[in-house]
Amino acid sequence: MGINPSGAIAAISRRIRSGEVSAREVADRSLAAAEDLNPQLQAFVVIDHQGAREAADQVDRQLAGGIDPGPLAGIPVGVKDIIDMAGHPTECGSPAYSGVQPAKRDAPVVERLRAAGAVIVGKTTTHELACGVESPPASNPWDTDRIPGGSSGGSGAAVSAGITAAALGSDTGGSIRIPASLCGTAGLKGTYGRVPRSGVAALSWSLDHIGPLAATPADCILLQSVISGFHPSDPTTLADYPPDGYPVSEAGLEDVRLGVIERYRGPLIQPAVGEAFEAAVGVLTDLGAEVMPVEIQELDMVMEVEYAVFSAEGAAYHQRLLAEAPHLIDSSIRALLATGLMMPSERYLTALRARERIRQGVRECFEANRLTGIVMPTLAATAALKGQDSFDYGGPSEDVISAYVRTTAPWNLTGLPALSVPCGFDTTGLPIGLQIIGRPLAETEISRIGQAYHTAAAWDLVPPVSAG
Amino acid sequence: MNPIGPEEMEAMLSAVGLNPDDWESAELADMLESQKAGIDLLRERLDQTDEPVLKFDPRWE
Repeated sequence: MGINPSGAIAAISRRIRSGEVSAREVADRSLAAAEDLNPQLQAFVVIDHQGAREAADQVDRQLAGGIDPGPLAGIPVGVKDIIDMAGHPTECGSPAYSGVQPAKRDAPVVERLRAAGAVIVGKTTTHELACGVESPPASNPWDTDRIPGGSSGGSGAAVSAGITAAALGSDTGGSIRIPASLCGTAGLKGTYGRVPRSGVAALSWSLDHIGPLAATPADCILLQSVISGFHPSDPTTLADYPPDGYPVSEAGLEDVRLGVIERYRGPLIQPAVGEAFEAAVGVLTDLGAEVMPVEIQELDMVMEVEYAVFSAEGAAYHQRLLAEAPHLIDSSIRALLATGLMMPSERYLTALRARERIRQGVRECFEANRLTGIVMPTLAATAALKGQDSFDYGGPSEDVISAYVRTTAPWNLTGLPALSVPCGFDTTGLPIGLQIIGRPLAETEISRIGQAYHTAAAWDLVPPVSAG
Repeated sequence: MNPIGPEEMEAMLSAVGLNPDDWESAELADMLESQKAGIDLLRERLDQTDEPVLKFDPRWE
């Protein structure tokens, strides 16, 4: 596994390993930034001073003793509060889980972060039950009157503001890529089965993915390489797959063929998003990629399938809560899950049949056009104001959830790897995301494409509210 | 399309173990109608050759 030298994590890592700064100093700065900015951003529900300092001190001791602490030595990381961290309750942003007993053990993804030397600064804010795109009370560092996205909104805000170098999120219909796009960070949802989900509160077993948000695609694939791999506690994790990690090679994109799905060019898209996307396609072309228009008719079915699958699976997971304490769940989430509980099995199976049709349609598109990947706007719109219901595209309009999920959910349904990378700003200075989708298990390839774009575009991604 | 009435909704809620007093039946009825309409659209796109992916691995290791 290589660490891309241009990644933000690599820069911190170099300073720690050279002795220019200690892991303890890095941790203290991250903790101070978390305390300083949390009143504005509400990115964290727990800031773990003691745990972070102990982890940092261990890294420093290892380095002093000539022991390699791992690829994330001393790197400050946040963990979404649906993921178990030993000694801390997993409250899932929900009154239903408020005050639950602390987790007895780390989720495998947290174990792997710690084993790689990461310093976990705290638990980040999630939309209730990881089922939504707003993540209240968290705010967007680019405009605190706006949402950071969700459901991994605290993770997006923490990384965007520079409090942590990376954070873990989960993604059932876009919940890593949505906050990444809205907060101006990179975010990677890997191939389904790549990362173990055990020790993580489920929303929808067959759609849930765990993955990283970080400053750059190179950082994302580094985190992904640490947390991925078979784990006996999650039977859906894949045992055999090619090794991942970031290739240090700075080769161009002459070997890359990218499809642009025409439907996502309009009309349901903000003009600034469309312009930024077309400009990003121009950069990719300049880097040597061959770009061609494609269409996948089966994508018509995405929203119906996504809602049917996640409401049914989410209802099964939360059945006891729905029956015994429904008043503890937000009314809109509660109603959605109840409709999943009442869904006839034939409807669920019909949705699964349509899901397979979508998967086949996407596969045929990749194979017929010999594509390396698909590129599209991560989202149709930039960050909504808190409380905003819909977007007006200058004629057609769309509710906020659909505007965010419509472009991300296809890659949950198909299980394909999908990366969001910042690709500019709208006229009010809000970030826009470019989404790159790959073939199964092609996380490394889409990260290479994303990093090439990121390096070439060189956007200034420091928001007004940041650790500086 | 016959909308789901309050009594029918009450029976549906009870059948899945939910207390009807906890729920807004009109809202749920609307959402279930929407769910049905969505699935009807999917069904029109499918034929007998379309199978769900239901993977079951009988191996122990």
